[in-house]
Amino acid sequence: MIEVGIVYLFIFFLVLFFILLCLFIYLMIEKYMNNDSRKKINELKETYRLDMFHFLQTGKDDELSPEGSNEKFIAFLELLSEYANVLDSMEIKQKISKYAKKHFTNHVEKELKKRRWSLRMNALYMIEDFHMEHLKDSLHELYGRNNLTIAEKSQILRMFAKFNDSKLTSYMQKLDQRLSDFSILSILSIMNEETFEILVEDFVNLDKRTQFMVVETIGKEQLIQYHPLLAKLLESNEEEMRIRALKAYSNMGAPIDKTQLAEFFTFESWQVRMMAAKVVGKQKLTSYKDKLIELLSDQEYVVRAEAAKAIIQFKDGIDILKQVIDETKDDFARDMALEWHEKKRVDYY
Amino acid sequence: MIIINWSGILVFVNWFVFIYMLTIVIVYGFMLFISLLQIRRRYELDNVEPYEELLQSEYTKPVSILVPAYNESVGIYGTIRSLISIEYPEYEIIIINDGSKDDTLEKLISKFNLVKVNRVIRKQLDTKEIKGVYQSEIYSNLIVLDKENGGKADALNAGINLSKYPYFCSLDGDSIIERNAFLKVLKPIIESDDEVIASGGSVRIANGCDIQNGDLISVGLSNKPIVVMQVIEYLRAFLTGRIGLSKNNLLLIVSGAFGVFSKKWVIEAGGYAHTVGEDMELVVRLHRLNKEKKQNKKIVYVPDPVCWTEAPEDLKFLRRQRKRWHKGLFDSLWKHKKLMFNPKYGSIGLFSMPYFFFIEFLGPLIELIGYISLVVSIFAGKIYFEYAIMFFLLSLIYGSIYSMAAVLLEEWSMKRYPKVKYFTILFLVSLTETFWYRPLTVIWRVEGMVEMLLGKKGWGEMVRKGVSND
Repeated sequence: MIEVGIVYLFIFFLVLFFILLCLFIYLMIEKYMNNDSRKKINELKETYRLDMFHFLQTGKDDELSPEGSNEKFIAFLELLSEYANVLDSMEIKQKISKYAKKHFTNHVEKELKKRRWSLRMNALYMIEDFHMEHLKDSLHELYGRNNLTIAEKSQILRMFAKFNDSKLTSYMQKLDQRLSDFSILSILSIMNEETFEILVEDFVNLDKRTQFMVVETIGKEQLIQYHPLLAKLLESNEEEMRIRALKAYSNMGAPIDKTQLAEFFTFESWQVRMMAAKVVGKQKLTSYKDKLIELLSDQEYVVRAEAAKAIIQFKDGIDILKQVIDETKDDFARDMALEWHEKKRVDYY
Repeated sequence: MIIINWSGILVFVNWFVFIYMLTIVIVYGFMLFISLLQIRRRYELDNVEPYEELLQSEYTKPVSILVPAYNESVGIYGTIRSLISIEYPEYEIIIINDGSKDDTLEKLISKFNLVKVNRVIRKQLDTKEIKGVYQSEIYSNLIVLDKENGGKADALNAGINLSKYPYFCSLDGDSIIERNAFLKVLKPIIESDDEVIASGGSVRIANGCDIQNGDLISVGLSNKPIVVMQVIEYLRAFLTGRIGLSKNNLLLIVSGAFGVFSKKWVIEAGGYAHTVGEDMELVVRLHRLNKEKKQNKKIVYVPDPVCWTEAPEDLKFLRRQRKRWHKGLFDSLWKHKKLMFNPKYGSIGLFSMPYFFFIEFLGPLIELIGYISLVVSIFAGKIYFEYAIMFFLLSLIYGSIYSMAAVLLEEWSMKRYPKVKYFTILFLVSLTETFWYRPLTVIWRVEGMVEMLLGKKGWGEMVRKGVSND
């Protein structure tokens, strides 16, 4: 019996060995050819680099066709992509877009249908880089598919935002739950103001997460015109919403209702207290100086740190901290004041 | 009088080893297969575009990079240089000088214009005493923490206490990081909205590569067989093993050389423990905490090679390293033995722990028994000779064949070795694994097991010559 086992095992080994050897030879030849073709592509890129630049400057592309060999095509694709990443003027963008529309549309459409995920993603990045807005219909069709990965979905939405697509708001109202906060924020920050306004008008109908992200965007992008919405959200029953509204206030200069803010210093949730301190610091509301000094003795480290950071924003911040260092009986408060007093000196925060 | 049936014992041992190795061949084969399906998906994905959004966005989470340094005077400058030029929107670099006896601190002070500063350290983890905090006048995000010697885990814990960002990355003192390494490794964390609590990158061997001022200029291959063999070993471990495990959230190792962790989770888990393999132990503890808190957090692995580290070129140091790794593996498993076969811990208890114990930890011992019985069988006569052939064939598949497959997998999916020559050398050297390298590592690892049983302590330091040309 054991002899049979050995024979089978030996055959199994030989088969594996043979397969690997064939794969090796195949990959080796492929590598050799790839290296060769990469060398050609790099040479072609150098040959046409200047011509491409001239075309982007002047708009004349009479002799600048990527047709010819496969290598030439890739070289042109890469060259255009390199320029698209470094040149930012509107005029050049239009030229890139026009050129890509003329020469690369077929290629990109073919790549979008590839089975391998990485190739489809690359095609999507190309559409974005080359501003191939004319492919919007293909993107809508793609977006409707069920088997789309979340990375593709997110990238397509980004492009709709970039191209100010009218259907974007309706897509945003029923977002795929797998989409991350980061992706939503990224899409919101690319959107133009009109599209964003349509979304905010419909705020109550958005799902909770998208609401949070809208509030965050208002703060980050300093969209002061939405401050009535923020003021309303400060009264929300939901703690998370209040924290986020406060955070938005801390990011922008919109005036905040003083009596409303005062309540937050004694809130049970430390996140609320911390955000309140942050708002005071960012908006330099000197009337809350005493409140901040109190917060230097807060039981939560991050609240104490935020309070010190806020004090340092005041004109006389250094003096206030110095006074705390000299007078306070609370060791925690003194340590924190000391650290920020020093940080101001070396400018590290 | 008891008559010992030697031939019966030999047959039994041979069968036992045979069945054990057959199991391993199947398990590894299965993992290789999963990798095969996964890895090609990303082949030829643009190297820049997927990360541009992260690089430009204000919403990308900042990260604290912790570099524990103990007598790293030779390599530390290169490491810091490579860290200063990384592509990431916001980060701080914290070097923890763990009571070095050489001139690590002095070198840092003079090269980076360090000045002593007062910092309140939020002591969330217990550590040895802090002697001082320094900040660079050239790069305001470079901080050096000087402390009493307490070992790598203690140094990392001190770094965590000082760090100000929600994620931290632990990094070995002599590693070279690719410029977009952090973008690549943090991408799954950021895009998962904190579902991912730890993420590890692929580590490759730097010996033979052209590295200048801490920057990887071009990938090369050492001309020493012992190093080439380690390159293959790393490829095999990272490309076939970890992808399969990561896919199913079964990963128990995030390499100490390059991993990013959620600070909140690590602090809640109690920080790094003082053990030989602190990186693995922490990951096991995170998994444990995750299950105990009935959360569904993930620990992932990014197959892109992002970190290049120096491999020992000397048998003496390689032997020490392997003994240490094996002790570390056992330490982590022993500390968390409660998880073994415990359905409460789900797949970690039912698959990962047994896998690491029976295959990774016990493997060398069984293999050694196999080698011994191979030798005995050859001399014991014709009947046993067949067992010897069988064992030999299996170890060829288990060693050489799988390593050859790993080299091919690399070429098929990543192509990081630019020259045809390198690929050919890697393939040919991987063929020889079963004949010399594998038996050596088996003996070293068993040695580690024996030393552990005898209670021998010691870390086995490695003398570094530095991979970067300053």
